Amino acid sequence: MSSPAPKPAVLVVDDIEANLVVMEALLGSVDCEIVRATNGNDALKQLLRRDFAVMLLDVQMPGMDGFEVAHYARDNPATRDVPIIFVTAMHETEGNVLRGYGSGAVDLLFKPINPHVLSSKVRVFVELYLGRRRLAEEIEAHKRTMADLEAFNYSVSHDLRAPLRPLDGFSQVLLDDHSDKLDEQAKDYLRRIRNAAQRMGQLIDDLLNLSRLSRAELRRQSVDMSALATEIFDEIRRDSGSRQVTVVVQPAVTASGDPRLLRIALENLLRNAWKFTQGKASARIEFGLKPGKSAADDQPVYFVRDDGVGFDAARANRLFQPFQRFHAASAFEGTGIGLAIVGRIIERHGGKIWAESEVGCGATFLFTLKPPGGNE
Amino acid sequence: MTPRILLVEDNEDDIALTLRAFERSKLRDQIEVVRDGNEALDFLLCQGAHAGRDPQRMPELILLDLNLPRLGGLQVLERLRQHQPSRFIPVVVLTSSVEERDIVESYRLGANSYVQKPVDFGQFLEATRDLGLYWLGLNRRVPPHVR
Repeated sequence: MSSPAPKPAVLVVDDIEANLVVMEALLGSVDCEIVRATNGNDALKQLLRRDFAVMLLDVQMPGMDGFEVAHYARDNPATRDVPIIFVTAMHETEGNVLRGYGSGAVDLLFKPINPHVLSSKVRVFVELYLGRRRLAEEIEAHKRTMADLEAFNYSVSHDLRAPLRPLDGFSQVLLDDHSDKLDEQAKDYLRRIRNAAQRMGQLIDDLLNLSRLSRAELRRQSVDMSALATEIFDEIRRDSGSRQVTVVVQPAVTASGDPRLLRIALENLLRNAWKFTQGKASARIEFGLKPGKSAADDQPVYFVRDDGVGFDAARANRLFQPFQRFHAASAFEGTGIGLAIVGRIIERHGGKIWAESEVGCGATFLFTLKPPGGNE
Repeated sequence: MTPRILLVEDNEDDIALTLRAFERSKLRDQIEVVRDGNEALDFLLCQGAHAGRDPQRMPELILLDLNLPRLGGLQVLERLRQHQPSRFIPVVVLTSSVEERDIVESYRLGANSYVQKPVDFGQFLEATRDLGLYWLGLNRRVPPHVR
């Protein structure tokens, strides 16, 4: 990346010096470096030495002929991808054309050569080569970024959590061992410190999860969404004690997706529904499949509906961004990352997620799990 | 006296909290603290500053932090598994990270358990109590004569 990338190179192979000179002249208008080879061995050596955008290969040469050179070049993984254009004085018979393509040529030029045809074809390969090289550089840069991110995450998970333990721990030790010397206000402050430390710990864990999800490999298989929803509802009930909540899970809803990721997404949605109905004497939460398919994508639409506090529909587009909180922390706890995680999981599946609500009238989250018209 | 638990930890806050937590389970006096990887190996292999220690007397449990200065926790684990006196001692990795590669590497190198230090001290108290009950109570060790 530091030194400017060299010009793309074109390898011209011909046993007759004069032909090489002519070819080089014909290619004068193409922005590339011409490398010459006068026999098959030399050509193969050059191929190993550097990258070429294309090789113009004379067929009839003494010793190793063009077909053999092509054969060896295609056989070696290091040189296999260099496109070959045969240049030949043979007659343009069907047999010769087929043999040329059969030995791995991408094109054949029969002498006498039309200069425009030659330079246009070579230019196409030079541009393709440049495109490939740019892409490779971008992939390389992307890999470096991912590695940096990985290192950053690692240090966050180690080093950023560590100072929270003494904050929480020593506050607790003070409350346990020295409570006789503390008045109620002092104890209240210590509890606040503990809450803040634990909240920060949760925040770090959630952020790391969000970051991991973006990198996790997606393994699609058939998932029984109804069973999954029922299981999650059972867990939530166990965790949250007695509340009057009517849970409706539509039976036999299946999906194609990554079971682990779908569980995380559905759990976030159902726990959200549970959380935002907590003020109601009796609440109702539904999971199921919307009748018909989404008009835009022709894909099944899953939904989670609650009759809780809902949210302001005007802000719905910000729901799935991290740290967006629509309610005061005192009313509903949470780090504001849950829906971002859900959004990322749906996005990883190629699907879409959106929400419908009015303040005070509950919320419905809807999602698809495949790209429009796609099978993946 | 040989301690029943060897705590390998460099962070003084974590040391204080861990000792405090084991006080609850009456194991405070059974813990020896070493503050980096090299010292851990010196202790276990009875060399360096611990050259006079009796190699027959080994701790029953090692609590190992991964993020250590000089010699890292995973390296300590790898080395102690290569030596006769320490190869069968149960090692519980006790660390901040739940990165998959740390977990996989720990088990690959012979850890017996992997526990994340929770931020919530209440949870940490429970964890230390459970660790003491299990590894010093329920668990059967390799008898000394076959080590």
